[in-house]
Amino acid sequence: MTPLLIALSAFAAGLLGALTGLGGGIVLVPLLTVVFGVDISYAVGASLVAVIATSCASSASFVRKGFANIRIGILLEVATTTGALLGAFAAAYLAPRVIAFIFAIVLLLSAAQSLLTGDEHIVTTPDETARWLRLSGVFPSEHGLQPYSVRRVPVGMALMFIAGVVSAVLGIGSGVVKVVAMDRAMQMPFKVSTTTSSFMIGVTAAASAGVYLHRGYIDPMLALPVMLGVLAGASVGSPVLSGARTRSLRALFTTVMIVLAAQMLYRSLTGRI
Amino acid sequence: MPAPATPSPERPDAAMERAVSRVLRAGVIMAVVLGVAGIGVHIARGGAVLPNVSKFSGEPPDLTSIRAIVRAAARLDGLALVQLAIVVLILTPLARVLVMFAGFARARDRLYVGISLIVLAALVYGLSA
Repeated sequence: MTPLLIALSAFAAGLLGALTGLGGGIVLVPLLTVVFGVDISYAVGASLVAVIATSCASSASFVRKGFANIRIGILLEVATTTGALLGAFAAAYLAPRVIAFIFAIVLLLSAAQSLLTGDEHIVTTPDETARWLRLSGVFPSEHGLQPYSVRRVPVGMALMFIAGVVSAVLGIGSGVVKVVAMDRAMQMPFKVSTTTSSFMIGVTAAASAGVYLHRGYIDPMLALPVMLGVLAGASVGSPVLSGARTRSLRALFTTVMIVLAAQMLYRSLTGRI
Repeated sequence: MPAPATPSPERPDAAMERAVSRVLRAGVIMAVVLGVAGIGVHIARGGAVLPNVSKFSGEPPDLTSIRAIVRAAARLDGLALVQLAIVVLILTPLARVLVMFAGFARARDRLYVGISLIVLAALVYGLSA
């Protein structure tokens, strides 16, 4: 098991995650545990570090371009960080095979979601809560600045709390829950929800990463190669996003997710994790 | 039906967005530079490259508390430098929340000052727990 091979695999995960827009974070833990035989606690710690790095790097440009809504972001972070703290403390009481089982389920759900394409509804009239919180915004579209607003903030907050718990326990950004919260419940435009979600992941993961650092889950010689690999892969992958090839890449990435989910499930059930 | 898009000179939070963007980028760059330097020092001093992570035993105390990490990194311990890079990375989102807190405070936006304080408290609690 060499750090170079780990970094290269992380590079591939970051590249595929960025090219497909699905995020490479979700395959890191299964990759480290199934392929490299890393203990799941160390894998979760390293993955969280990598997820913070990619979130900070990618949202630095999203935010400046005005796609991410930083007010919605920080409001929902109240829910994700408290969820993450709860998840980080709860994780100490969960057996590795239980974590692997939850991971397999979340991987399968994410794979299923990546095949679905929802409808976008842009709402422009806020409901009462959204108006009080001043969450309406504008984002750059092909036709200039597009105004939008959001709905059902309390439902979004509740789902974001769950996203925070899932993020901490599994060491991922939990995009699968965030999409449901922002696209479906709060009816945010896709561009805004994906970039705001990416913006929030760093803060969410940092809340639990602090707890894991103290608990000794973060091994420097594992976490750094993973972080550098994913970061490099994500930065190579993001500027070359093109329509046609994305579909076959998505199919490939989804297949990888399903295979890793099956492996995690098998290991969880046989106790070999 | 989306409402007609209207051009506007600048979005209200644009200045804060630029500040946030700078902090995030600076944090990542610092972490990468420090981490790569740390690995260099670690290898130059003949440290083990293969992490022993197949069975969980927990990291040594030198690498789990921020104070100890800073102290060991000051002695130019390679592993501690790498761990310090990771600490810098974990602190980057916290710095970004601080920037937003300051921005909302300057704009006298009490609601969002309160909201950013709650997030800040959660992050500090996680780091000290």
